[in-house]
Order: sequence, then structure tokens, then C-alpha cells
Amino acid sequence: MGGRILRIELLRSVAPLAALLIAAAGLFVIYAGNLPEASWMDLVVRQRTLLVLILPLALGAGAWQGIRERRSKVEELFHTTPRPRWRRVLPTAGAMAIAAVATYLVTLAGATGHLQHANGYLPASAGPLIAIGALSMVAAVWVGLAVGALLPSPLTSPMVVVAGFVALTLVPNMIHPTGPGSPGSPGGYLFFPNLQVPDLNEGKVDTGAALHMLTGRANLAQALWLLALAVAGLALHAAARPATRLAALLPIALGAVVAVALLPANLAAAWVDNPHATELTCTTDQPRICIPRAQSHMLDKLRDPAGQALSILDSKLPSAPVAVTVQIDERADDTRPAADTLLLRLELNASDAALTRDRLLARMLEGGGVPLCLSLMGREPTSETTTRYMAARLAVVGWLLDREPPQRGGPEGALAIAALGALRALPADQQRARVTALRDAERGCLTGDRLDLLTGSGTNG
Amino acid sequence: MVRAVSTAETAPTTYGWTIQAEALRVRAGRRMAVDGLDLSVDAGVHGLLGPNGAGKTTLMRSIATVLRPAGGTLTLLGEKVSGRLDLRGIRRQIGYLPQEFGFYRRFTVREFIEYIAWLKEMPAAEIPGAVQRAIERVGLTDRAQDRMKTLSGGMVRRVGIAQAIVNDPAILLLDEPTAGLDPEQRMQFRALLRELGTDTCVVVSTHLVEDVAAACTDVVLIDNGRLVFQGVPADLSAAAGDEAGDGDSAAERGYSAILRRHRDKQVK
Repeated sequence: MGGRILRIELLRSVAPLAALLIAAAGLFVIYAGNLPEASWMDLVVRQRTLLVLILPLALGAGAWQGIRERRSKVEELFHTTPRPRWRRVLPTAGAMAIAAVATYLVTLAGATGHLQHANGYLPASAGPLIAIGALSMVAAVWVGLAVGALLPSPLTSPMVVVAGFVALTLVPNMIHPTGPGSPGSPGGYLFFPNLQVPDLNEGKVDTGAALHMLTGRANLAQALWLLALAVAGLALHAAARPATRLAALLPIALGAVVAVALLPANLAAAWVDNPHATELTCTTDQPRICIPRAQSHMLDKLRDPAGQALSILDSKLPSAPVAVTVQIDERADDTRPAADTLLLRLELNASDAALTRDRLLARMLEGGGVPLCLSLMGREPTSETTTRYMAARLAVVGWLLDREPPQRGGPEGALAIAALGALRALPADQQRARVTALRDAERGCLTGDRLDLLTGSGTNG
Repeated sequence: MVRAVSTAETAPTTYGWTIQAEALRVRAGRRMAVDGLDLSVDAGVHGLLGPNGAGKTTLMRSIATVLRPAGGTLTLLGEKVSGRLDLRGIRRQIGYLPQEFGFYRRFTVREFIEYIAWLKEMPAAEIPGAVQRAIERVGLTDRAQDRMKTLSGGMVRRVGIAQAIVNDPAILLLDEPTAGLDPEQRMQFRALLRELGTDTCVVVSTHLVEDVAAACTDVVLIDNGRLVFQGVPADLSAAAGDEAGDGDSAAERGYSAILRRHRDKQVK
């Protein structure tokens, strides 16, 4: 029978309406963001920060439901029934909890339309973030139920919405003078279910949250703390006597103590690199491509150009690579690949425009299939050193493809055309030798002017 | 309509009176609204009459276990109601329509009565049948699927009666049940009362003397928290004798005559 009552409450309590409104509000805010979220992890973290808006609403919905017995004037009648209060409130609390979890998950599912690659990498570390977000919603509706039942006034519900919003927005900025974003922010920020994200990519190119995760300890601390809040809320709502109500507050103290023991001293320490996201996964068929998990959705676009690039290199140069490995461009360093591997650097969130067949092929063939040496780049992107370096690498692309070198709109373009002309003027075996020499210099990041190597009157001239 | 009857229901009662009050005192706020009341009732329909403020509703609420006695004794179904007693057993056998009957507006009629049946800890298997029977007895079958908020005042009152009888209570307490009912519905309600009264102790609190005269087997008149008169309706009608008094019917004249005599006695 409890199941039937639960079904009635799911239909007739404020739960369905609140779920609809809160999900709509959450989705509105997510879609109002101009740019789609770059990765699943970015979306999952975004939804957790969005709790600042939807948690107060969930709290208000709980309070509204908590006032129902007073508002409907059924208290006297219910008081004469044998079923104790704690049993009576369970179906209502259950319906509210189901609605709260559903709201969180439906919002997430709906928000995938605002995700760049819904087929992108969904790390396992997103699981705890989603689960804890949903748990915080349950805690909010249950605490709301308790507040509503204890302060049965029509004003209670709007008041707790405002109070919740103020608590979640103002208090974090009062804890530390520079807020959660600074390096010295305390781990206590994790008491807030709306995630306070430190500067994750300090000193590096910004890759959002995609390559990061919250430590297991931090997740556990948050989960236990929110569980304590939820249990206290439910117990407070179910308690019929003042003494039991006082006892119902005990979990809060317990949860706080445990959470404090688990939390790191520093908020930034709670966020770590996710090794799983950067780990390579390799295809088993040809062409063999190894790609970081975080970029695995690009694989389909890579197969064709990778096969083509490998076969061109094989036909035109000695000791050509037989496999392609993708490196996250934002995390690139000058670690050189083995001779049998073509290393391709791709931006973590490369746009579809950057992933066309032609552009990918050109990028793979640059420098003879070797990524550029960052240490050889001039300080200024337009410096002569850089321009000559880039021109030489692009001329090789033109030579390998038997066409004009690709144009990137910079000053290196004209230089590359001239260099290719000079290269083609040489005898065929000379051409091949010079391109091979350039490629080998790139493989070792050797110093020296690459344009000279390709066309000059140097050792090979 | 056939239903399963449990052994508990058919077992002979081991107590004397269904409801027994001795020198009962019950507080309503600061006032002692029931003050030294003696009353014993059993199965039958008992019309509880009295002027405003006589303590009718306070008495009903104390029998419904909303209020605890402040003095004297109240024995329900053989159990003495006191601070120590676990009331759950008694409450399973009580049906109560409060004076101000609240309900959940978004529930359908059937859902609300089902909910109350669940609160009364009825066995799950019995609930659907019992709910249907209660809905039929108050004549709301065609509105069973409608939301409570769409019902008229009289229909809400009938839902109130249905929820009170859904558990086939041994004690049925109806506080102003006929308020908002039209004449036809009131006649149907009286018929229902007579039917219920054969095996249930029904206490109906009302202002309407003619309701009592028409449907009750027993009249209880209280004033200032004390019992003034208890007898069959015919006694009430006869009480006026040849005195000229206020009232349009014999019962009403009897009612005012009894009250007047009682008050005169108190003044002396």
C-alpha cells in the first residue's frame, strides 16, 4: 500500500510541478550560455555550479510541500489516525526525493543539446559529481520539508528560496578575501554543493575541466556531508516531539566533523589531473591511431587522412612512420616520438572546421610528419625565425602532396611557395634527400635554419 | 457488497460501554469546556445537542483522541484514555469528521479516502474495496475520479463522511455533518446514519434539532460542559409538555424547555 500512496504523492504533491519548473529554469540558464560546453566534464561541472540557482528552488519546493498539512487544515484529522507521523511523511519525502533526483538527471540529459560532442569522452569521475549533485537536491527538498513543517507560513517558501540563494552566493565570497578562485582558498569551500572551481589550468593553456577530476576524498567528504544534511532534514520533518527534533540535528554535527577531517586544507588540492582522460587508446585495425580518451570522438575524422598521410610518407620518404599518435596540443612538449610514429597535435576541443580531411592531412604532413619543435620557435609569432621555420615545414607539405603549400594567412605563406619552387628545381633524388634531412632535424629538434636545410646551398647544396 | 470480516470484528466485546465518561474534564485553551461530564453510550445514533459553547466540539475532540482529558476518566472501547496509553489500537477503530474538515485539493476523491484508509492502518488488501464501499454509501460514485477542489461544499462534506466510515469504525464521530447538505442529501444522510447505528456507536454533534429527532436513537444534551439530558427523541419532544416555548417543532420546544429548566435550577 505504501507503494500506492507513493504513486499518489508523485502525482499530487508539488513534486511533479516543481521538477518541471526547476528543470526548465536550469536548462534555460545552461542554454543562455553563448558557447556550448566543450566536454562532458565541463557540462557536469557547469551543472554543479548551477546548483546555486536550483538548490534554493528545490529548498522552496520542499518547504511548500512541508506546509501542506497546515495549509490544507488536515492536521486535526490526521492526528486522530493511528499511523505515526514518521510513517506518514515517508511517501511524501520519497516522492520529493525521486522528483529531486529526476530533476537533476533530466536537466543534465536536456543540457546535452548544448554540448559540443555528445559522443565525447564521459569520464567515470563524472559519476560521483553527478550523484553528489543529485544528492544535494534530495538534501535540499528534505531540509525544505522540515522548515516548512516547523514554520508553516505562506511566506516560508519564498523566504527559504531567498535565504538559500543568499547563502550559496554571498557566503563563499566571505570565506576568503579573493573567493574560491585564488590559490590559497581553503578546502572548506567543498561544504558548498554548488562546486567552487579553482583555477584548474594555472600557468597552462585553459582546457576547462575536461582533464581534471575531484579527488575521491573530496567527493566522499561532500557526499557524507550532504547525506548528513539530508538525513537531518528528513528526521527533523518526521519528528513529532521537540526532543526528537533536537536529536534529529545530530547528523549535521556528525557530518560536519567527518567532512572537516576528510577535506584538504586547500581547495586547489581537491582537484587533480585525470590520468584516464589523457591516456591513449589505440585502434586495432589499420591505420593504427592512438588518441587520448578525451579526444576519442575525433577518431572517425582522423582515419582517412591518417591512412593517406602514412601511405604518402611511405612512398616518398625513407623510414616512414607506420602509426599515428594524437597529442593534446595544450599539453604538448618537445618529447619526440619514435621514428615509426607520426605525432599529431590536436587542440583538446578542436572545432569541426579544424578537422576537415584536407586540413588534417596537411597538419599530419607538416615537417615530414613531425610536430614542430616548440623550443625552436621565436619569441614573437611574427619573428623572422618563426616565419622561416614555419615556411620550411609548410613547403614540405606542398612537396609531399605535389601541390601548392597550404596557406595559413601569415607571412610564411609566400616564403613557403618560393621555397617549394627552389626545392623542385633540384634533381629528384636531391629533393628527397633534403626533405628527409629536414624531417630528421625535426625529429631531433636540432638547431639550425630549416629553410636553409631545404633549399639553401648548405651541406647538401 | 460482500467483504471479509475479521475475527476481531466478530469477537464479542469485553467492555461495558463503547464510550464512557465519568466526571470528565477537558480543557479547550484556557477554558474548561467539558467540566464534570458523565456519559455512557453504546451502539446507536446519539445526537449531541447543546447551545454554542456548551462543549460539544471539545467533547467530540476528546473522544477523537485529539485532546487529552484534564480530569475524570474517559474510557473508549474498554480502554482508559490517559497519557500513558498507546492510542493506536483505539484510533484504528475511530472514524472522525472534524467540524472544520480539511482535505488535499489536488487529490481525487478516491485518492483522498484511500490515503485516510492508509493512515488508519487498514490492511492493504482491504483498502480498495473499503474505499469503493464508502464512496458508494455517500453517493459519490460518479465523482470518485474528480479532484477534491472541483467539489461543491455539500460534496466535500460527503467525502468527509466517507473518510470517517471507510474503516468501519466502532466509534464514529461526526461534528456538524449536515452543514452544506441540501434537503435531499440530508434525508439520504439520515438513512445512512440509521443504517450505521445498528452496529456502530455514532455520535453526531449538531445544531439542528430536527436532524436528531429524525435520525437518532438517542439524544444527548449538554450545557456548560455537563450532561443535561439523555433519552430517546420522543422524550425530548415530550419534555416541553404544555409549556409555551420557543421552537417550531415539538423537539425544538422540548430542547429549549429542558435548557431553560436546567439553567433556572443552576441559578437557584
